[in-house]
Order: sequence, then C-alpha cells, then structure tokens
Amino acid sequence: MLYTPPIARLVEELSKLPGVGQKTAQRLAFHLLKIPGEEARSLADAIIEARERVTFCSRCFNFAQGELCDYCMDSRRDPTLVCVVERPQDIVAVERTGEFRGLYHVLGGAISPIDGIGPEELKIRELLERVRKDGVREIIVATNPRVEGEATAIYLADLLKPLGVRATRIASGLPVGGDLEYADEVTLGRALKGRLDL
Amino acid sequence: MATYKEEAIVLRAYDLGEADRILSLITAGRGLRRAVAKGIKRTRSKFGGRLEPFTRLHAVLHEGRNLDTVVQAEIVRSHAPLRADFAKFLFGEAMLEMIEKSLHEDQNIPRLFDALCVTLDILEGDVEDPALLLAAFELKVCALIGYHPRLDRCLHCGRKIEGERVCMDLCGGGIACDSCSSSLESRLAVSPENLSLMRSLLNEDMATIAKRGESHRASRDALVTAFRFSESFLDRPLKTRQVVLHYLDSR
Repeated sequence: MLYTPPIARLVEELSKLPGVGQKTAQRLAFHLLKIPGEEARSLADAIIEARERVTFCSRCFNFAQGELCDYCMDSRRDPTLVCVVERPQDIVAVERTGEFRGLYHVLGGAISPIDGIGPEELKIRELLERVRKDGVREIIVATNPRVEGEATAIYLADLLKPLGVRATRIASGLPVGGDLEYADEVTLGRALKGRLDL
Repeated sequence: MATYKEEAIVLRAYDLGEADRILSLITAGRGLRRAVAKGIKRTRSKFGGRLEPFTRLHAVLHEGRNLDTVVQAEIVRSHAPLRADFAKFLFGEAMLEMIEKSLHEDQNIPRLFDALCVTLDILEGDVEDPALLLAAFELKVCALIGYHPRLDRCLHCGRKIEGERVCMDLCGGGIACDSCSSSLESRLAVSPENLSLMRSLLNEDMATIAKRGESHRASRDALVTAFRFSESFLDRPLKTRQVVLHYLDSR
C-alpha cells in the first residue's frame, strides 16, 4: 500500500475530476493535508453546499438557487429578447461583454449525432414553449461556432421562423488583435459575409 | 518519431483538457489516425476553423507513440454547405461515423478515403434524397471493406432471385430465398421493391443516386436495410443511426 487508506481515498476521489490525473490528484491531496484544517473544511463545505443548494432554473435551465435563476428574476432585463447558449458557463462569457440585457436559455449541449445527441436530448421543446407563452420577439442563437453549434442554430432557425419570432445568430469572424494573413478560409469567408457598413 | 504530410478528412473531434481536442482523421495514405490539435479551442489558435469535421485538408502531423500531433493544416475543401443545411449535416455525420467505425486504427483502405471525398462533394450540391445517398454509401463502404452484399442470388441454394419477397441473411452477407430463410437466426424481410432499390444503390454511381427520388417509405426502408446489413459486420454500435431515423420519422 502506497498511502494510508484516507489519503488513498482522497487521491482516488480527486483523480475522478476532469483533467486531473493520478499525479495531479496526489499533489492536490498532499496540498490539502498541508493547509490549515479550517481551509480544508471550508472547501469541503463549499462542495457540499453547492451540490445541495444549486438546482436548475425551471425557465432557462441555468444554474439557480431556487425555482428561478438570478437573470430570470431580474425585472430590469428584457424578457422579449432571449439568448440561447449551449452550457451555463456560456452565460458568464456573454455577461462579461456587458452588451446583452435580455434573458437566456440553456440548451444543455449541441446537436451531435455522432455522439448520439439529437434534438430530443436538448431543451429545444422548452424553448419553443417559452417563445409561445412569453411573447419573445427575438432569439439570439449563441451556440459555439463549431459544426455541431452551427447545425443546432440551423435546426432552431427552421423551428422558430414559422412561429413568427426573429431568429438571429451571433456574428463570427476574425478575433480582435488577429492577423488577416493567418486567418483560415472558413473564418475569413464568414467575416466577409458578415461585413458592416462604416 | 517522424513528421509526415497527408491529405486527410476530419471525421470527429473530442475535447481534451481545457483547450485541446483529439481529432479522428481518415488520411489518404495512412488510413485512420488520431491526432491532438493543441490549443484549438482558443480563439487565437493558429488552426482556426481548419480542423472541423467534414474538412478536407493538407495536414502536417508529428507521429507520436499513442497519438499524433497536428503541426500544420491547410484547407482543401471545407464542405461549408454541409453546416448550413441540417439534413445534409445529419446524413454527412452518419457517413463520417460509418468510416470511423469501419476502420481500425492505422488500417488503410485507400478507396475508402476516395469514396468519402466523392460522396461529401456530392452531398454538398443538389441531392434529391440524402437518405438514399447514405444508404448507398453504407452498402458501398461494406463492399470496400470486404463485405460486398450479394443481392442477385440466394446465398444458400444459389437460385436467381427476381421479383419475390426474400430475407436479408444478416450473418451471411446477402439475400436468402423464402424456403432457405426459414432456418436463419438473423434475418430481415425485404420486399421485391426494396431489393430492386438496394441493387440500384449498390451498382449505380453516387452522382446518379443523388438525382434519384423515391417515396419517403421506400428510401427509409432502403436505409434501414443498409443499416442492419452494415451493423452485422461492424462490431460497434453507430450512434448517428438513431438520430437519423428519428429525424426521418419526424418529417
């Protein structure tokens, strides 16, 4: 036996985390044993509290602490404008821009047939329900600009158009600070298609 | 470990850690390869949109013990129209998965690469019924990997089959007449119309099949038969199939 049983268990549990291998788990375990007991207990409490108190918002499927998430409860936000994202983390990225004051809808992923994920596995039915009930006038599809995200956007647009709601897609093109010479054909092509008047 | 250049098509991409992805590639000269694209998820990655599924590219790869590493990539054909049409994307993904699951790592059947190139190019253009194109692709891939379906005579008694109801002998790799099929364990009933369509799909070239139009029922039956036939030879389940059939049923 390399470690005493409590350490072995800690290493084993830590190595289950994404991106954490055996070696990193071992390093983290020894770090946790070295820090003051108070700090270690605080980490354990934080994990337990997050697991017990965080749920999914019943309207947009973002993480929430109750029935609705903070964005859905904020009366200053425009409820007729909905930004559709793949995962709750994407909301944080959009919020950081400070450019969006509408509500969100988390799909729970993107359509990826090769992984067995079809439209039924995502919160698409719930989105359509929201559009019908909440008087939404524009849906901004902010899925990742990968093949799967693009296919999901096309699929959503086909469903949303007959409902009379405006469906838009976030623009894609060159990153700020990038160099035209190194841009690939697909990205540069998109940037040209989505060009703006000066 | 050497660096090599290959023409390749990206079949699939899996996330690896925070910013990397593992790519499954079919190459013209080395068959199925897996390679890491480092930092590809970062917006400032040098690869940009070059390594998305469906993209045909000239790649420079560094050979590794388990996984290769992508050093450089230049697009030959991005197959962008497949991303702009949901049906084409769906049927195209099924084709990519069929290729990925038909080959073992490093196994090389050069004609498979050519078949995929031709089919994706055709799928990008005007296709009357993408389900028929997928059914034909499945049958042709089976033939290329050594399981050419025998659709003219009964596998067991050798009798020529014409205009009659038969069964697909899923273990034998062809059709069996009514009297020979009763003892088969793994079989699928095939109508004379479906058999005739399957023969055409196997024998006609893809450009001709792309112009073919059949009833929804006929093309679905052909696709299901092709799926069942290829599944009997591939030892792994194909995930796209459920999604494809669900999509067809919802139309």
